[in-house]
Amino acid sequence: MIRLHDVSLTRRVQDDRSLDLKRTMLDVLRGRYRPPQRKSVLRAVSLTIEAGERLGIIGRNGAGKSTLLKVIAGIIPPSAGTVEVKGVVAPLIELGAGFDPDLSVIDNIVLYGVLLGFDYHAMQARVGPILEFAQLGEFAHALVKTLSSGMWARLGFAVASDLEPDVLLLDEVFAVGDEEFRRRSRERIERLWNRGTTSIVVSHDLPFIVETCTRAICLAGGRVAFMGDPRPAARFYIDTLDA
Amino acid sequence: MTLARRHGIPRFRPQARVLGGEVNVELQRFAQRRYQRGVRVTLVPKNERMKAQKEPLERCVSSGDLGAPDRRARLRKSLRGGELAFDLRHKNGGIGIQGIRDIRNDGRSLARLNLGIDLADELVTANKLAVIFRHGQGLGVTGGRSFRRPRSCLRRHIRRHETTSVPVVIDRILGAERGRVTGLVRVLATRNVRVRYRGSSLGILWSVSNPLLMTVVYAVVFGHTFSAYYGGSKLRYVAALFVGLATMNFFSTSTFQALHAVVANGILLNKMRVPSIVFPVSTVLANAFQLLFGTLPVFLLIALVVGHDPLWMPFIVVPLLALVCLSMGVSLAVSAIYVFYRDIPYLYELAYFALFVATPVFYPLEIIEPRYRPFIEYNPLSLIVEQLRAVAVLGTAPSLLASTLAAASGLIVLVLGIVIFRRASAAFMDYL
Repeated sequence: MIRLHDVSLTRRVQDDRSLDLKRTMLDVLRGRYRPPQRKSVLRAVSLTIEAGERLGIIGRNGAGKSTLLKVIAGIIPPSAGTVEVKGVVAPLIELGAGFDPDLSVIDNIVLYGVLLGFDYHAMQARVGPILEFAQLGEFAHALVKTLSSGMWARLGFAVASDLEPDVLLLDEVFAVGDEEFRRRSRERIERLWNRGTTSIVVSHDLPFIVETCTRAICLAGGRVAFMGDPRPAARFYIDTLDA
Repeated sequence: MTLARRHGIPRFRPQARVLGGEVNVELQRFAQRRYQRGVRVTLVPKNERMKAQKEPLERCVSSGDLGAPDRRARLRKSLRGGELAFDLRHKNGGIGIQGIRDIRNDGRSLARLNLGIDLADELVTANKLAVIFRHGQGLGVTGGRSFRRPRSCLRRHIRRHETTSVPVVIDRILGAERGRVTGLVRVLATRNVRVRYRGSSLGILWSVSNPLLMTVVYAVVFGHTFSAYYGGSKLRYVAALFVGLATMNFFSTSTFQALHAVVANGILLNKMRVPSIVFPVSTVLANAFQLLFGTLPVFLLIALVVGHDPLWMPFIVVPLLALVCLSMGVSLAVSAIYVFYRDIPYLYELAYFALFVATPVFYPLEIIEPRYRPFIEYNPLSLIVEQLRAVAVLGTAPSLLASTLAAASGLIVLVLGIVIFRRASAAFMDYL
């Protein structure tokens, strides 16, 4: 179960001036120092997702969809409000971000798994099945930088989905790999769904959201603009696009 | 064989300790299934009966038989949100609660069951939820996953509720993520070492090549003048040079590499939930690995060839550990500050050069004017260098005072570094 209560997030507006110690000190001395500006990314998002639900998140670019996932995954702490997530979370966000191109495939499986939060020894035992699912057995000792981008993504998906998560966060991950791998990754995720895994899906693929999710929210400007069944949510989103 | 170990989860250890007062808070982690982690909290009066009360709790957890009532304890359980949370109340006044996975919910269930603990407050500290229990005169605090700052949380709570008379001091809870941090550091440090030596047949010898080369240069320039201070022995001067340069090389390499560690992994930190401290720590440890297998053997060689008595060699452990602690502390501090101020590398470079010259690496301490000598003599790196030389080059007993000072300064810097890093890391994500 996931519960967000009045979650707000402000982020510092990137400006290079305040990143300079010398300049900051000079500004303070001259009395010209101003604290960096902040902009709101999420505004008072309250959300309860029950176990086994599949929630779709839709919205325009920059509406805060991926940021919301990151807050739920615990990557970015919220500025205000509380986030409660129960169970093991598998964030399938930007797969393969933790790979080191200069290490072998096997070493990377362990590295990525440990970065995702697994135990070192448990990870070593999982190397075989992961290689098998990613169909990269013959590349086990190759450096990851020699893999194609499709293989890279396959490996990322194979590691991240290998755990048996209670909560699955999906951010446009079905667009990876070739047709055959996409089919198998769908199968794997559907198996998790059948087991009652809670999921949050971020996608621009509206038919996919309508087809798979039990509920959907539409984000606009960091706020929950619509919450309800996927079909009306998609309708709402399309209407806002036209307006 | 503990339950945790069997399931490949880091062993659990007590994570909080009470320094004084009436309540004993113990946070432990245990494993139920492979990926399920639990937090157990016991609140018991700190007195003689403590031991007797802990026992049924323990049994309860390890047997997995959550419902079986114990003779000494009355057990109740409640299902809240599909999770089992239950408490134990002892006849002699102690209260224990425990639950699976997420203690926050236990707090709630407990409050709902109204079993004598009033759930005093829920607080958000460092953006994590914390639950504070009030029980009689005592206060207990607990938090969910990766909850880090019970003490400040408690302080804030006390301020808010004006219950300053409650005599509880809770030692820092090192966060429920300790096991995870060690695993991460291990993987990352191995990676650092492995990537660095890929494709180089000389392997670890590269780590001594820099100080060796610099030794040659300094020996050519200063050997003629300064060997007089080493009993006229050029060999001894060269050995002392190498020890000094290798020490400085370790310090500079690890701190300069660690300086960039957090910022360089900024993209990663934006995509995965990884405690940022693992990056500087693993960088320094990778360098420590080279110190151990690259530089230390050379020190041993020097002790055998140049020193009087190689039997003093075991004492080399003290200055070496002090060196690693010192470098770790400085690394943590600079890597944290670098996140906020990107011009730090220039300033740090300047500071390091000053430190290098202010350490008797290539000159003997005797040439310094006596009134300035203490400044040179008692900088932490000088203490370390001089102790290493005493043991390896001279083959004499290390000075007790200097060794103590070296170890103490290393530890102080390490603690300062950890404090700075922890304080700063809350705001990291805004700058990465």
